Amino acid sequence: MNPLDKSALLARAAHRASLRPDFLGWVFSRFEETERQSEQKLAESLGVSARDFQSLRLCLRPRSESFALDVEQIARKWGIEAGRLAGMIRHVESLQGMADDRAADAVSDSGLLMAARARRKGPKPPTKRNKDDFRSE
Amino acid sequence: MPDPDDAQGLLWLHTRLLNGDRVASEELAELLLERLVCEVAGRFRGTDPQLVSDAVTDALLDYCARPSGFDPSQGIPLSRFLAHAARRNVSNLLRGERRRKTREEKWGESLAEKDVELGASVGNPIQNEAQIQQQRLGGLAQALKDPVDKKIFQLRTQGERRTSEFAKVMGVAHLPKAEQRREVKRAKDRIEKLLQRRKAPRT
Repeated sequence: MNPLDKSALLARAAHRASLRPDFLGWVFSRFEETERQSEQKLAESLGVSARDFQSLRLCLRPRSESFALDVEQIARKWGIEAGRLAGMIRHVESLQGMADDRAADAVSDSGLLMAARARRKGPKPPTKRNKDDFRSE
Repeated sequence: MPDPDDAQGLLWLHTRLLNGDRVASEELAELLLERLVCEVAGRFRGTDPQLVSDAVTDALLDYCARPSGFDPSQGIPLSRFLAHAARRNVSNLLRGERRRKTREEKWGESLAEKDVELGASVGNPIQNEAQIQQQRLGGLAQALKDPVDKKIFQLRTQGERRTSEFAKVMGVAHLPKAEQRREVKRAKDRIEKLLQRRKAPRT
């Protein structure tokens, strides 16, 4: 395949978009991973061709503040059932949220462990009383 | 869909992206990706086409994720702005590639030097050991007063094993072989005892 061929270029661009959380491609990649679904299967479940699925990956991810409107816009353009697309995105987002929570818990747990750890014994800094004792000698 | 050369059409796509349009990024890629890749590849002849396409794609995706980075009031068309960003990406990727190669070459050279150093460090103890041995033998030879004994000792340290050679030095070459062997053995044993006494002096 010619690397400068348009469809090859778009496929490669779609792949690169899958590495960026701003793009729908990232959402689809996470869905494929967690649900162990192939790209082809996912395209079939959305009811789009393989070529359209690559294009879909290049779309920007729906924003949380206008989720329904954004999903509706994407779904309308490719003739996808909006509910199915929204469900897929929400599924990935909830899994991501849980993963983030776990990561946050791990960080706070490590903080607790650090707090509970015995301090190393070292030379104590001189207290006011010690200083006075020293002066009196 | 606007024409890739239509600056107004591209500006319309830019406005859509700014307004949060979710499908404009795909339209922009469809419209400009191939053209930008060809244009940038022309500027970097001989460069891996995959590297060029990745650089162009990254420029496009970066812009789509943050369209406010492009300011139309500067008077630069969007296509030129993106081409410039893509060329900068190619240069950065090539610079990174060169740095990686230089680092690998330096590492390879330092590894070769280390091999030589390692060889030298292995060789030195052997060399030192040989020198020490030579000095020790020289010191032992000094302990022998008789020049014939010294010569016999030298022959032994040189690895000579033939009885005839020792017999010549001792001046007994005219004697029968069995006699020669006996005389040579006696001389060797005597020298050995002398040296042992020298090595372990009485306390």
